[in-house]
Amino acid sequence: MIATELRARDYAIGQPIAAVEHGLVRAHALASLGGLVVAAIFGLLVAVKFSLPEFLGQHDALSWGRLRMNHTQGVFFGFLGNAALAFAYYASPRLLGLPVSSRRLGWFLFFLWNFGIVLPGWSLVSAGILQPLEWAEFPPVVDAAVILAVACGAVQFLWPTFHLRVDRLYISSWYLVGGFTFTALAYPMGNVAPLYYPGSQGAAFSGLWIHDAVGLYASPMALAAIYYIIPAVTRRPIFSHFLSLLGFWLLFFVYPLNGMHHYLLTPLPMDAQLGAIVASAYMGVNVVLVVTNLLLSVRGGTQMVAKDISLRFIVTSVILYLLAGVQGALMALLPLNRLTHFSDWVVGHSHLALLGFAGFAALGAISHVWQHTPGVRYSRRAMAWAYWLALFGLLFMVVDLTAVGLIQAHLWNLDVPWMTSVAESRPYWALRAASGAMLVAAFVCFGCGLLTGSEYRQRVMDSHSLDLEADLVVPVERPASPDFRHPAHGALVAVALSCFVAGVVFFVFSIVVLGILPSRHVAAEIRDTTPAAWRPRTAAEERGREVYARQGCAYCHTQQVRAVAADVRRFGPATENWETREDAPHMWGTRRIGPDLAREGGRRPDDWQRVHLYNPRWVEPGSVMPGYPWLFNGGPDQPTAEATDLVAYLQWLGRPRQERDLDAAEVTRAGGARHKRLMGGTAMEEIASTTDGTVPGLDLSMVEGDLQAGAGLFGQRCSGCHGMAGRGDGKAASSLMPHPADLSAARFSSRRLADVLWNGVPGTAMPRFRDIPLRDLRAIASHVATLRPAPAAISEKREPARDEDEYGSAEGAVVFRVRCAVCHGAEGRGDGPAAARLRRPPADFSQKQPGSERVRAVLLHGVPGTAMTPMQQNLSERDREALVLFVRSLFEDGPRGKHVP
Amino acid sequence: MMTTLITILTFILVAIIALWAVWPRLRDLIEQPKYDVLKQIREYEDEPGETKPPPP
Repeated sequence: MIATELRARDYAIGQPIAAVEHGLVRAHALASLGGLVVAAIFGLLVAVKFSLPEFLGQHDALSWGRLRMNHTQGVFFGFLGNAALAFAYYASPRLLGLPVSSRRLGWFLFFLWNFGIVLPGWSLVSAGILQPLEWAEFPPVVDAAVILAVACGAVQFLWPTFHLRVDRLYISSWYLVGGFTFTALAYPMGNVAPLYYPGSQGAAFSGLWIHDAVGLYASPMALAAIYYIIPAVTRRPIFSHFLSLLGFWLLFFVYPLNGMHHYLLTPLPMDAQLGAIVASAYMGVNVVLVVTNLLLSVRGGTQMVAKDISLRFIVTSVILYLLAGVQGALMALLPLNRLTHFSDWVVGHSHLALLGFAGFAALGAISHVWQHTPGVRYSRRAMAWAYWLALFGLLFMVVDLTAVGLIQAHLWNLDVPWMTSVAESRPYWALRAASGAMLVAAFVCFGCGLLTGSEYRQRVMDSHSLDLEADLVVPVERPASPDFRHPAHGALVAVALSCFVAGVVFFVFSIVVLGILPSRHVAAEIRDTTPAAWRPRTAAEERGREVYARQGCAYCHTQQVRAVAADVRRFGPATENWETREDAPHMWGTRRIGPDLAREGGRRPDDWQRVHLYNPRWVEPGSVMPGYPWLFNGGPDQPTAEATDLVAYLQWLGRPRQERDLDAAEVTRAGGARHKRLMGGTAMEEIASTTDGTVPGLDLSMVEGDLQAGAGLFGQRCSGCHGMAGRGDGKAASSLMPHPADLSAARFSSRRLADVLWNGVPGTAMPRFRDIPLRDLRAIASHVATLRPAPAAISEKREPARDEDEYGSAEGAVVFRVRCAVCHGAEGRGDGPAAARLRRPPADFSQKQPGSERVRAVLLHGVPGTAMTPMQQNLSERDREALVLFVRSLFEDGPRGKHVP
Repeated sequence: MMTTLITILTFILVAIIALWAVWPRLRDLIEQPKYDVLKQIREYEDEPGETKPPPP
């Protein structure tokens, strides 16, 4: 039918106009608005949780990770997808002079998109049924619906297009054709390949998709609307159709090659990374070209931009496209990428691109479409309010995120504690939430603009723009009588068709060059470099990995140490490909709110991890990480199987690398075994990054101000476990085994304090604090030294007389030699014959002087979680009292061993 | 590989621009759709048949 109609005319000029499916336009526009508001609320909740981490934190459906996934997928499908379809139903008949293929198919597509993709996708993600892939979180069952929907869209909109001569296609039609075609190609690649290709191989495909999602789906739909609305409102042709076509083909040829710039300085092949950098620069040039053409198309139309709300959205979108495009190209350059990658700068950039460019274009399209749809009310005033709120909200957010991104990058390079960057970011995150609230208000206002008001669709000639018509309407001067026999026509058709075929081939080629070839290269490298002792993850570790993925941990914690000095200094040696050989899908991540976890295994004991998962602020008071209480049965010492598995996975992270490097270190370096014992699973990292176990000397003679600073630092870093008074009764204490030390029950030498702060206590939750400046370590140590009251103030029970003291000490030495020396050593230095086999080293009494009550308590009850057993049955009270005196006499406060200033 | 690819792309781009620059008739044909579509858009937007008052 359509074909017959088309044969009667080469193109549609002068023919009766084709029907527009206004019902579908309205339905998709309203669905788009709903998707936008809901997705924006998800985003606002995500932003609020940075300031209030426990807000709505009792259920996993509302956890930070799930909300973040639903935010991005909601924007992608709910908002932009519906907006693109609304625009396509409105514009396609106008562009082609032909109706869409089928109204029935249209309604099927509407219900499929919204009730087969958007709503089920959100529900399944909330329930934890998802893919842990950035911008591809909806699970495979929804992916199938997406592919079906894109196929339906292609039939609906591309079928009429194929009936028109390609040389007659306007640029908006080209973008619609390109958008549907390349989305159909890119979506399966981005959603399926990373599920099966592990680690760095999968990351290569993910990088392709992350960029294709913007470049081949959002950008074409936005540009189709922009190229339509500018001439529709200004009522004159665009500046250059040639430049438009050039921009179109450059977009589809170059954009797929950008993908790997998300994973620069990783172990992926450097050739591919450098190619992505060049392609990104190319893309920046293309954006400048496209924007120049578009801005020239609205030249002289300033009044119209001010009066027509849809054109205002569109022109703003074009300007923001320029900013985002140039910024994106610059971010791919290594010096800037090295600095800003993983920081909030990138989040600002993605908001600039997705909301600023694509979002504003979509809002402009909906606004225009709605005002030209018969039988609907609208309010231009409400839409104008929405525009200003959205513009200021967005700019506020982007400036804020860019600024905090630079601060984070600076602090990460200074090697200050990670928590410093978190603390410095918090005010900016609060501002970001405020800007998010402005955006939600803008979108609600926009909804009011669509659903309320007294205006309705009128003929353009009668509308508000009538007074501008005389100035702006340019008569169509070109004769619409093309000579199809002219050879230029044939050349144009040939070029257009060649470009289309070449574009598809080029897309496939980009997958080969940036996905398949790097993947093969990486696979060969993995075969050659995997250590012989490699062991696969256990079933528990594998299940833990699934929990990690489901909770969205990868959105805040990367698992890739890049070949960047700041990364290596902070996290250890750069990631190698073989380390990721079983990570399908990969968990590399693209953002660091928390530190990288590629080397997390063995850093801290299981009980610390459990407490941290239950409530991170119990052990890291300044943390913004959400708690995961639903993984526990009421407390951190009652983990569910999922929590146990997750901790097992966390302890696995980096272990193969540590084991391989330890093997190498033992061959090449004497003393490696000692380090292994001292440092637990992190021995290699210590060998690589520190001077062989040397601890800094800490001068405890601090002035008052430093002591105050020490108290503050102790409150921030130590009180979660040790309690504010240092009695070992912090919030996390009851869940840690062995329990945190009661710092008020013993005196410590400065050397002991330095050693514990610098090296941690192996086998306990006490971490090393090497990320804290020495000045602060001294302040903390000085504060700890004040926690033990002065001897005169201690009411010691049964303090012996001097004679008894000397006698007891001598008798205690005998008892100590018999009962204690095997672990603690003959001189109580914690170096007895059995010490090397104990997970937690025995106490060194030359550096730690426990109070008498503490010694008595330990002798009676032992130290839970250590090899120190109760000795009530083995020792008489007299022997125990003698031991109390002897143990306390061993203390020698002073330098012994290697100190550094 | 990527460098070769981008070099080829650049050559194609230069060839297309050269073709456009030296062939005036081709330029006219390439620009034609922007006039055609404007006529078409005007036909739709000025079409009185689509205008009706809002429901009460």
